Amino acid sequence: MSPGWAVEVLGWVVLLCFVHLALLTASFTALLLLSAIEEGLRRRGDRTEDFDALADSRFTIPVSVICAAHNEERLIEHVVRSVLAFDYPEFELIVVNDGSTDGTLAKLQETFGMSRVRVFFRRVLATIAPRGVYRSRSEPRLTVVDRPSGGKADALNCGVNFARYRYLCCIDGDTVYEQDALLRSMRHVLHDPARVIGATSHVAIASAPEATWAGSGERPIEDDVFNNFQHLDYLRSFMTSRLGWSRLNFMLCAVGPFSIWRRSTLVELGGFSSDFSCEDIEITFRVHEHERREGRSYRILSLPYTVGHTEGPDRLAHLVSQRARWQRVILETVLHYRHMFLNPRYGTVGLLGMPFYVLAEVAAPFAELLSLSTLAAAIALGAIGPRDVLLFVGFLSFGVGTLSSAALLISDLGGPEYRFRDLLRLALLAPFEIVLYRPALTWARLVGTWGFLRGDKRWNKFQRNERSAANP
Amino acid sequence: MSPTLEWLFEPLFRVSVVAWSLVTGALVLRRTLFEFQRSSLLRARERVRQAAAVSPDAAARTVGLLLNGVPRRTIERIVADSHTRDDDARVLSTFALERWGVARLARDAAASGTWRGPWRRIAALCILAHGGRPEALPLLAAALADRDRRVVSAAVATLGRMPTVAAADLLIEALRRNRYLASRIATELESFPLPIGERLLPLLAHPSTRVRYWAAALLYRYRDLAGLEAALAPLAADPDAGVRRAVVQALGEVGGPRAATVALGLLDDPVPFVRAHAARAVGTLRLTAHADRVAPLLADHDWWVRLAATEALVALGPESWPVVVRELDSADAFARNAAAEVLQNGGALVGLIRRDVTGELDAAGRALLDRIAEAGGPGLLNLPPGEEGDRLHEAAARARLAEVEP
Repeated sequence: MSPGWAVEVLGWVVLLCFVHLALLTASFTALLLLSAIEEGLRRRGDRTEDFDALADSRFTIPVSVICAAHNEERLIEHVVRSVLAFDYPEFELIVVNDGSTDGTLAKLQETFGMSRVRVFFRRVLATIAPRGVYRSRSEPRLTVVDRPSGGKADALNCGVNFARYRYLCCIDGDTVYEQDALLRSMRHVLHDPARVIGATSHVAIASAPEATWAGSGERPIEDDVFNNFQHLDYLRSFMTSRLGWSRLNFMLCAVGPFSIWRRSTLVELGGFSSDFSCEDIEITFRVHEHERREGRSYRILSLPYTVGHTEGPDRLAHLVSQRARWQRVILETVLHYRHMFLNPRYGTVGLLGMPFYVLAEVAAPFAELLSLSTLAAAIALGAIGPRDVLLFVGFLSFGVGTLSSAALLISDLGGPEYRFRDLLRLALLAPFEIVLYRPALTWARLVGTWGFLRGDKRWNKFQRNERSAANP
Repeated sequence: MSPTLEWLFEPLFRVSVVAWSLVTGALVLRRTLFEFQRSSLLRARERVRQAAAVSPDAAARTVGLLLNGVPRRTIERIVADSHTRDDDARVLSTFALERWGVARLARDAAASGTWRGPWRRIAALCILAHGGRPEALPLLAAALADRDRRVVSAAVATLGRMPTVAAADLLIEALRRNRYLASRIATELESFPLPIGERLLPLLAHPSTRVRYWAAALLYRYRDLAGLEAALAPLAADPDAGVRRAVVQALGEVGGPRAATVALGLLDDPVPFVRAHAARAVGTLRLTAHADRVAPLLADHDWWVRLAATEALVALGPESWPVVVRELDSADAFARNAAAEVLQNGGALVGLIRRDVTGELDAAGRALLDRIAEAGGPGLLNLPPGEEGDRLHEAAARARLAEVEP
């Protein structure tokens, strides 16, 4: 192949990549605007809400909080304490110890005075049989169900079997929650219980979630750049995308660390599925698919509140492993529900949500790989000069930086969560993400795609960070 | 001929840099303004407090001076914010009423704007309400009938914080007319700053099931209200199960002779959740003489009734134990287990084991211990740590509670 020919082909590939990029830019810009509108409306609604009356009222809807815990010895006490401190009138907490091989159960027994009881429960969902049920002597709202390991989805289903109330709040055993998380989120259910069947909200990254929870006022951001990039990544995803999805009612991922579901909806659908690498995205797709197919009027909301703090990976390998799993489950889910793609029967989910997922999640790693390869080939063939390369990378950097700054702005409009210097630090770091952080995500997505093609279904939970071991 | 896109790189780069600069600049500016406003408000509050110590006129003058240059939107936002302290909201509202006039604010409060949506209207309603203006109530009444749920929600919350009986009347009327989610209106009526039991009482005779339900549910707070028990009791025969549940729940807290009759009568209700609440009411009312009516519910076909019966029997205390002991021989496994749980939670079990340890337990007592052990199964006890716990543990093991954790 002559260099001239190669340049010709490269030109067309570049055009293809640009079309993908243009579509992504247009989608993210539109979602950003919608997210800003959604956040503004929610914020104003919150301002006029009488939270004091709600927090004390016996007329709020009681909630069963279900926490699936697998080897969470180091954080479980803080997680449970943070949930029991929820400023919400009536709720119960069911911790499902999913075959932990560390001291998770012992920690709970010791801290909360759990003792084994014999109880009967309604087996509305098929799950692995529990080994034992424990109730707290000091905290009547707390129940611990111990069982052999069966995966997170099965553990959550087990929790559903023990749940007493109409709404469920599914949480993770490694996330420490804000005191007002449930009240602020359930407010939206309380205002429209006939239609709101699901809700989720933003979880922040912290290297020591329990320390963050113990603090008050504006949250300090850690000095670790790797942690900061993950923080920005989460924030951008929620504040500039998911709020927009929610506005158009195609909120396609109620995240594992905090998702509220109407119990009857989950039971009707047979609960969480263990057939996928991760349960959260799949159940959201399934609920949408079911509700749209049945022609019901419903809402699944993404909310702009920071409801908790979770520990992110502190090593590149752990991050890649985590994100590869996310990519696998996205591919599994999109493939499984491909019949919704551009199908008008599924409304905005089929016409906007699915194409967006394909564009931004499924095709993105290939497009990114193609772009990088093309760029390298163009440089090698002398078809593009170093100045143009810098301009292009600069464009991408500041483009992503703009989205991150917008996410910070939207978050800040809802009330100052960060100290001024931290806000500035995050905003200034944002343009470097594309060079310093994004390649790792691209790699992780490719690894995830490869894993998907090989049929890998492992959970790949990342190893807890060293800090915890040294300073439990 | 392949397309060339190099010409795009520079303009795209420029656009992205400008966009990032603008958004980041807006972020910095917004936070700086916020910090300035926050510190200004704190300073202003302190100065007003100092001036108020001199005279009310001095305070009013200080407020006027401080707020003169503050934009209307800022004042509106602060007054309408439910987190703003009542004192601050009152001061700001008084200033706003003087500055923009009652007529203008009343006009704003009457209808939503075309492009600003309902927020100016909501803020104006809050200002009039905090300012104690008589125009507030009719405007809030109109807002309750608005089609925009945001306006109705804000009106409900504003009325719930107004310490006047007329505001309660508007909320009650909204409840009767089903203007908004009944549970949200009920939440405001439940925490209403004035006693409003007498105004809720007539709702018990309302033809709407929904209204009767909420009236019964809300009246639990007014146990001293004359005629409440007499008004609630007949609703135990209401055709709607929800009303019957609310009635027995309320009577459980209000108490009185009719309450006992109602609670005992509804133990046989055909609807499970009514039976469950009736059982709880028997526990709350401490109707120990009627434990024998609750005990059979340990074997009810509904799970929640069984749980409620267990809770009720624990609440009834030692007087119920003779009845509970009979359930140790029930044909139903849960009833046997729940009976053991009641005796465990009430302290009967540990008491028996203690007596066994000290040799005070006779043969009948040991037989009872065995029956409880059999019904409750392993892992039944919560034993105290230490030497006593060890000795109790040995005794428990003798009573076939072999898997008890010390």
